[in-house]
Amino acid sequence: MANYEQLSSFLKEVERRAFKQAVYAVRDDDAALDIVQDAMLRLADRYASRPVEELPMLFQRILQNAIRDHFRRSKVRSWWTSLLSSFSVNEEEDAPTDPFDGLSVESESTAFEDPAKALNREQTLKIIEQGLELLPPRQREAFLLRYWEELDVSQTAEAMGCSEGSVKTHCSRASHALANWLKAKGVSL
Amino acid sequence: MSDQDFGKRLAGHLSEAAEQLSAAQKEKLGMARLRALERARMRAPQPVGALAGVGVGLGRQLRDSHKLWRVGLIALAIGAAIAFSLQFNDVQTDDDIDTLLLSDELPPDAYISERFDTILQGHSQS
Repeated sequence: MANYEQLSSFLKEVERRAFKQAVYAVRDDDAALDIVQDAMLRLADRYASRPVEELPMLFQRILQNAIRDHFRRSKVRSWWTSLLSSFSVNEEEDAPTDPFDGLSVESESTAFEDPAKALNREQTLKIIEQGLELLPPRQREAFLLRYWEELDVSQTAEAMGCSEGSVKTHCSRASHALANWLKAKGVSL
Repeated sequence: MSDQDFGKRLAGHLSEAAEQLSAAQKEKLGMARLRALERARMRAPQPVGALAGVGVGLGRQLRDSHKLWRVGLIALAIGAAIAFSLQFNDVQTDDDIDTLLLSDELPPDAYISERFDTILQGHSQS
């Protein structure tokens, strides 16, 4: 049974990767934060008493379900929005925009790095992340769970709710698609 | 390069990307973690004997509808067990009365006979 400290260190260790996973899936930072928070609360609510070694698989399962829930809700919301917007005047077009909205703050870890090297690294990361976002959801899910979260094939299958054979197929296809994408962009790992 | 090696190398880059979150994102994730941990602490079993703790624990249990079903089922099972036990006691009492009546020298019909009082009075006078 996981105690408070074990749960705390598990969440601390997994939270950033979980956030990035959600970002790759939904492509919206705020929504991704909500998803990770929701997944953490669900884990704490229902599975905090489970053995610590089961937490990674359970958390990934909850996270993937939270991502799917987000898509379901978005679908319903967009249906209502499109229905209601046909009856209302769009006021956002005239709203003033903040010119600093598009600026991002430089991260501390790269602040004193060689600019050429940092730019190259940034670009490589951006291309990798674009490639991941372009993958079909199940392939991305399997790839990230197997190689980033380091779950084995059976744990990945359990987290995804599919067979081990499907996991292997998804991983293999994802790897080949990403390798081709990187090659086309001139990136070598 | 095998799929596994490729996956591991790419994951290395992704870990690097995960470290480059903005301060606001890191803070929000930290807050979310603390909220989840607080929830887990509230869910943890309370020490036995602390009446307030038991009350709070019970209240929390009753808040969840799925747990309400469980509590309802347990209450139903306890009620059924009590009803069965009471009925069993009644049957046992009836059996004891039957045994006493059958082991008596007087047949049970004698007690409802109209002449029983007369016979009893005559018996007490002699």
